[in-house]
Amino acid sequence: MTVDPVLLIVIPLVAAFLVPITSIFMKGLAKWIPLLGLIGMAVVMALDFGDLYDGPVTSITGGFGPPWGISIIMTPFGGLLATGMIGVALFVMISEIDGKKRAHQTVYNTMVMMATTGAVGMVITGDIFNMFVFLEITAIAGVVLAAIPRDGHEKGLNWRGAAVYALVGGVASFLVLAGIALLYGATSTLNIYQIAERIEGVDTFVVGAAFLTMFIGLGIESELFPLNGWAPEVYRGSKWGTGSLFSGVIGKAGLLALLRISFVVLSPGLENGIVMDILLWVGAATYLFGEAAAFSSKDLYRVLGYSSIGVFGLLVASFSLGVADGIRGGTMLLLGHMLAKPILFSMMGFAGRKKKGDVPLSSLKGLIRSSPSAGIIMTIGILALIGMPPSPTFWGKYFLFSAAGSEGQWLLISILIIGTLFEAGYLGRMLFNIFDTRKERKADTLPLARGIMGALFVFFIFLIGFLPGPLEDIITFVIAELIDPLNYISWGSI
Amino acid sequence: MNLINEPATLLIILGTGAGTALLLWKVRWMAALMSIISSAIAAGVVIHTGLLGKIASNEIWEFEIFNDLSLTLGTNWFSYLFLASIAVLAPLVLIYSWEPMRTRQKDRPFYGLFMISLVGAVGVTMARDLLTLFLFWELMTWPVILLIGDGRPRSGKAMKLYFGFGMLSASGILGILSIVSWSEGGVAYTDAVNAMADGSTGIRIAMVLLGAMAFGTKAALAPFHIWAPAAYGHTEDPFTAFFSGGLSKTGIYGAFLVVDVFIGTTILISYGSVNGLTPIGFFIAITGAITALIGGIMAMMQDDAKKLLAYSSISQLGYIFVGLGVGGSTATAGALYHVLNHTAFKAVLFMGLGAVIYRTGEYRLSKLGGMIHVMPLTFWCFLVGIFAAAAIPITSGLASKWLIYEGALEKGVGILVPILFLASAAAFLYSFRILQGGFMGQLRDEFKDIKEAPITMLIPMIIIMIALIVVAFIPGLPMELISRAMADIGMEAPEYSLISLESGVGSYSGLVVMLAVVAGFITAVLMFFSRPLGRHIDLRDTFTAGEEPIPNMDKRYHYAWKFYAPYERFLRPYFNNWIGKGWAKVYKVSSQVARLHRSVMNGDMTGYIWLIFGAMVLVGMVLYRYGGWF
Amino acid sequence: MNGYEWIFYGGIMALMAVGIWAILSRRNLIKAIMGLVIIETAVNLLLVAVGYVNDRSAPIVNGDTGLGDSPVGEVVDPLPQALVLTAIVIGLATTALALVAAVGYFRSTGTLELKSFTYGRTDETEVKE
Repeated sequence: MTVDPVLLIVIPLVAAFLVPITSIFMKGLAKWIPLLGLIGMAVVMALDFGDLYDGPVTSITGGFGPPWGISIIMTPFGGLLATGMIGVALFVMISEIDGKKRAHQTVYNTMVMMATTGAVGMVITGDIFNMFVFLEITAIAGVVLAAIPRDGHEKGLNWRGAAVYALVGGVASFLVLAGIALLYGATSTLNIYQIAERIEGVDTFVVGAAFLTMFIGLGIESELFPLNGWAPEVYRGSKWGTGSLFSGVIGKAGLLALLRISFVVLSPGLENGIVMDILLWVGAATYLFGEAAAFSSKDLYRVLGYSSIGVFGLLVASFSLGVADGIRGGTMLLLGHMLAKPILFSMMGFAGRKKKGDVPLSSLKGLIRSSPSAGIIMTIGILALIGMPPSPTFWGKYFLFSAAGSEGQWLLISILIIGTLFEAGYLGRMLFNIFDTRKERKADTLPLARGIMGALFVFFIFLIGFLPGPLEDIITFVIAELIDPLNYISWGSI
Repeated sequence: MNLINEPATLLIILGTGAGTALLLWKVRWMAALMSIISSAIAAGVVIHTGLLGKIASNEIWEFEIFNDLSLTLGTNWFSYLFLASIAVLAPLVLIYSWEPMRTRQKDRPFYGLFMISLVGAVGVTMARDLLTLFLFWELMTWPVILLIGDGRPRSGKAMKLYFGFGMLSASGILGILSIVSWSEGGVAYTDAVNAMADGSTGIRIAMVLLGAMAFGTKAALAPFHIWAPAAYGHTEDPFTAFFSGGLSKTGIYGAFLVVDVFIGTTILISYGSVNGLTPIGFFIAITGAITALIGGIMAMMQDDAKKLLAYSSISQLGYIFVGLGVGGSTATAGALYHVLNHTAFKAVLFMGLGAVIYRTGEYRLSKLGGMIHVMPLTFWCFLVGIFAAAAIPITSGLASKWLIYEGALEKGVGILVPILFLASAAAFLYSFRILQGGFMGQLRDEFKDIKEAPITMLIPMIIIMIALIVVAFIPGLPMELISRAMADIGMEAPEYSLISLESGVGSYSGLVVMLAVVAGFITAVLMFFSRPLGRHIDLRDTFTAGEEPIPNMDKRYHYAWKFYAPYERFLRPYFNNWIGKGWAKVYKVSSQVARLHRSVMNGDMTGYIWLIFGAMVLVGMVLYRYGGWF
Repeated sequence: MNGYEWIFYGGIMALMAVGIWAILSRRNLIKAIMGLVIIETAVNLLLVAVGYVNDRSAPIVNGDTGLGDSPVGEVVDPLPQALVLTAIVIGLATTALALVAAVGYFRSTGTLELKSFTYGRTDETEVKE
């Protein structure tokens, strides 16, 4: 059964508008609107998911067919990512249902919905300017999210992150806009598939300049080194939910946009697969840098932030290998990260909720004793992030290693091994703190909603870890989209 | 009963046990029962298959995961040797753990973790491609980490070391996987064989080094051994027997796999010879010999009995690596034989020690002593274990070491022999230390009322002890298995009959040796009884020469504190854990390198923007230079 | 490209460089945001310039428009102007938000300079193993 995928944009947008309005006169209702919106999105996604097995789900807006109007092309890759994003947003929203009053709740709820709108929009739109608009929506939501402080947190850190992100994000968005302008000037169209169709005939100079601006702009959004200075600051100062949204929703949208623009649109216009090489090595550098930085940080929020950066690098590197196994591995890593990171953020937010400033690693100490359910969920999250079988990350790393091996990328493999060891270092440190029961710690009950969501994500980790097979068909489409631009072109011009 | 031959059957039996044990971990006796039953059934299946001789060497069972990716399982006699030693040991150790675990605080699912790790180890031996191997390897490695923290000081450090080296080993396997995948596009063992056959020297060397990193770590090969004393020393006592006796064998299995299966004798020989060995073999043998030496000497200097046995385990595994490196039919047979022996005697040693610790709560040799008086049966089991470890006739430990030495002599190896000789001397010293410190000498007053170990602990020990002695008469029995295993990796076993072994240098007859020993023993007994029997003298009289000691004086006459002080003084400067310090240095340097990012990402917003535009210029230059921009 | 266009594109480049330099050289948040606004203007100009190209047709009606001798060749592409309008609105929002963040930062710390920070007490202490 197919539902118009444009609903995935409309529902959260309407919800985002409704939240502040209803909160003026009906506070009780306003709390539930984002949840309803997200559940609505989830239902739409669930209904459409089956169709993704046969290819992309498209929709025409405003009655204008593909060459003219804005079209929505939910490719299987985009659909998979959108599903994950909705899942992460639901995770963030449901986990905080515990009857407590929180400061800035209305703004927070609105911005979560905005961020989801923008991110899902970026992923499923088929129009490059529309993508820019959604990018801006995401970025604006990101700034506001970053500015919302943790409860009882040291003042100033949140504003610092917000200011840095506003500035850097602003630069990013204008670079992207400049790139769009260049592409439009050269091809006179804004449809992604049409630009891809016409890119061969375009002057290399324009394509190169467009790639440069778009790569930098979208690279900033997807936290690539060395464009990611803003990221740790945002992670450090904001709520745990913001952290998981940045790593699971906002950043992932930027990542897909970057991959689609680079591989589907621009790569054929430049020589020697240079786009792939640049992305590959930038990704590898990001991985190494992110993991090393996480290894040497002690504030948990920063550790997880840097770890997200590292994973973004890993994803970009594996998608850029340009072989089927690399893309397959990248997809599995993507799913693994989207499932594991929110768990870690959530449990860390729970364990460190009484800390005023930074949350040191030691605040996890004895978690397994003081709150066994939180300890177990977090342990599984950590193991899933390292790549313990059975977890999606395990399959991801396996495919990545065999793909890198089959391409003979020895430097990449050594970077991957060193990065993995760093990763194991800091995640192991977290594990040891969780299981360090030398000091008695007061019993601490995990709020029910948080526990349920954590357990649900753990279940998904095991499900995909044990039975990755059913994803194969979707992954085939992901490979098709990223390896051969003609596929995307044919999907777009239906 | 075709179903029994399916490798999956074994995994399903053990997996069911693991699952129930994990779920019911709060009801400990249920968990224990389930684990014991399932592992016993599994052991029965393994023995049954082996006795029937129905190992379908070429059959491979596939489980499809993705369209073009399946997990493959299979067995041949070579992997069966390791599979059997692990699977048969497990129920014994599980029965043994019943009593000590009964009274322990229920703070971790001991049986569940044990069983998962057993499933992993069994899976490792049955894997037929590198992916499956890796999967089970991880399954085997990680549950153990939760069994390491025994609450003693420094157990946290042991966990960290185990974790770090576990990661190193996993990375090594991933590295091998990448190499094979690069060369052949697949990850099956046959692909690995082809990759080595087609590959250049560099690839082969990389394979050996990665194999040392991956499997040497598990088998505690120097310099990857430093996790082992810490981890063996701090695991739950009953598990240590399986940890050291069973799980370390998977590392040996991997090493054999890399050297004798993937690379293979033909390629090894093609590189000429060093000291009569192939270059790669020489490298492995010398590393193994050094490991044996380091392990032996470090064991000699331990007061903590579990650490002593842990170092001794490292030393023994070093011998196996010597056998592997020396290669050829005699030494390889010796190494495989030693695998079986080590499984048995290390398990019985850790079990005996565990029984002592269970009764006394004391693991320092300087605080023990005289246990022979209160725990005689445990002592005899332990003694046989020590005899086997020191290759003293009457146990089957002699045959395997004899084969390894003979193999080395056949090749006329110069430098190995002195190192091994020193290692043997150290082995004698530490064996004596643990016997003297733990079981001989004066019994402490506080341990006067200790009872013999419980029956559930004694039975497994006695079974293993009897096996060690009986096999000493008939070395042909294990040799039958070894010769089949060697046939599966394309080697010819040395000549053997039921009671004797042949090598190029000489022959060894288990029966003759044993008969000689028995004859000697009977002579001694006869001589003893031919003289008038002496009066039974109290232990204290022995120490005080019959004099009445000064009242209120300390009544201890037996000291095992700083047992080998003179040797220690001499050896400490050379064996001061410099390998461990080296690893600590590596860790520290990498931490410092990792901290470099702070000079880049230091919170200066302008700096971030500079970086962004700097990156833009850089990428632009790359585009210009390589992408045909402009 | 003829001479005019070079001037146009050169001007845009120069404006962009001014904006970038403003961000790169000023630590003061307000000044950096001003730089951002300048870049925004430059990009908007670029969009307009892209639209004002001779002999470029409107994307919606192409070829035979049914207007007889079509004046399509003389029409300025209208789409970029719509884009610019959107971009201006978005730019406004971004700028406003950045200013809000700057104000918040100023209120909580008393400064507008985003200098390098000390890594808090948690991160200063060596990670001990």
